Amino acid sequence: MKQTGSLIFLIMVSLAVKAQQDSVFTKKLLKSTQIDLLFSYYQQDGNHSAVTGGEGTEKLNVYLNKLLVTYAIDSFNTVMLEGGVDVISSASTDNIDMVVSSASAKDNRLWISAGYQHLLKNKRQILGGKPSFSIESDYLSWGFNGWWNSSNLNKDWRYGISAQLFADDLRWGRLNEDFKRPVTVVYPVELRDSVWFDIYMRYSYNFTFDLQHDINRRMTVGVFPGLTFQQGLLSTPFHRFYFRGANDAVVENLPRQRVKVPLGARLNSFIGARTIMQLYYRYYWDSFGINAHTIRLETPIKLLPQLTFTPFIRYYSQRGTKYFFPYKTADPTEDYFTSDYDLSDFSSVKLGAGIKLLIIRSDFFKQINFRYAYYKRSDGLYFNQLSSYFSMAGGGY
Amino acid sequence: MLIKGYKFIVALLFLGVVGVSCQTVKPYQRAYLNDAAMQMGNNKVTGFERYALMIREGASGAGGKNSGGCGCN
Repeated sequence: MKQTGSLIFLIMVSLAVKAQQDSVFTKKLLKSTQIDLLFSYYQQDGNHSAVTGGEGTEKLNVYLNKLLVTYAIDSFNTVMLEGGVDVISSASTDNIDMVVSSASAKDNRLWISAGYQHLLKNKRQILGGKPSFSIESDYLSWGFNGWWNSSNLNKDWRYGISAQLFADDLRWGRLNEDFKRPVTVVYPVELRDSVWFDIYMRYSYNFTFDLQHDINRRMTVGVFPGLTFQQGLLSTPFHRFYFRGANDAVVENLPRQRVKVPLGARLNSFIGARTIMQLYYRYYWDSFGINAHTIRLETPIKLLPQLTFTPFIRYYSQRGTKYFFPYKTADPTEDYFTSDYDLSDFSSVKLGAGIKLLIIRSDFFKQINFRYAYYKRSDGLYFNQLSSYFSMAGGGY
Repeated sequence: MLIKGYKFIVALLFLGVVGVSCQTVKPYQRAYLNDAAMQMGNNKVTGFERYALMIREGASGAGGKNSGGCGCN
């Protein structure tokens, strides 16, 4: 009995000493930097180029590069800077330039964005904003993305909203050494004696919502409704179109407004201890008359604690716009018309696999990913895409 | 009609499975849920794949071919 009393006394003293030590702690700010690098090679071919009126090569090669630096100033504030350069080589866009003409057109896309994110003091709400800028020879875009995310106290319900705004200028000339300023909208080379459009701006307002819930300790679901409104020049000014019986092309023409309503749902679930099933479905409707269904299954398999192999398959089915007509099939009385097969009836399959390696014994490299995807569309277009992603820690204190 | 009925049964089955599986998850039971592969956010390595699909398919949001980049090749 005496021994038990002494033991209780000792425990109480040690707890009191520990409590005193805890009460004088100083709050430490955790600064850290993360650097992400992403490279991708995209190779495409097909035989329905919209530039040549729905018939002709769609051969295209693109090298995509991206750098993202995320700097956590402290536990509550994070800044991010990202940018990239895409190098595009396209056979179909030959002559989409007011000065030169080459066998294979080359273009570059440069883009940059900088953002800030703040975690509110209750640690359950995040507010963020990110302006963006993108430029190509025939395109300049200003954008802004703002978001708010929150969760309940148990963090098993999460919800958020994000808004994206874009203002795009479709005039050519900024990247040309002779002009260095916006000059004109680029039409097909033989149609430049007419002014087909008296506008050159395109505005987009995109809203997405998300609601996520943890069903049990192995399963989580989410729904993602959205709403997009666009107005301005929604057709591509150098896409040709041929009416039935006509030998001369005209410029593609689409309505000046478009409303889009997507609804996505996702279910992630652990199957056993090493395999995760990621199931995704999306329905889409828009005012051009496009209806689409997407279903995707990815199954990350943890071969080792640091090594994950992810096979995936995706099926997509689209009912095309009422404004789509194949080469030389449209009646000349149509007000709106395009031969862009991206807006036609088709189905597609994408499949491939990725591998992710977590690097534990390095202070710098944190993660390496490689992923390959093959895509085939029912109209014959296909692409191969190889992507790599490297995540590095730039140090913290 | 038959297809509509089929979709309804699939949706009902999905909701039934999810409903039956519902449990309250305590903070110390989140080991599986906190795994990176269980997060709903977009995987960074798929960023350019999503960009390509936005351009090659009509059912895109605002982005890619529709805004923020030409994507017109």
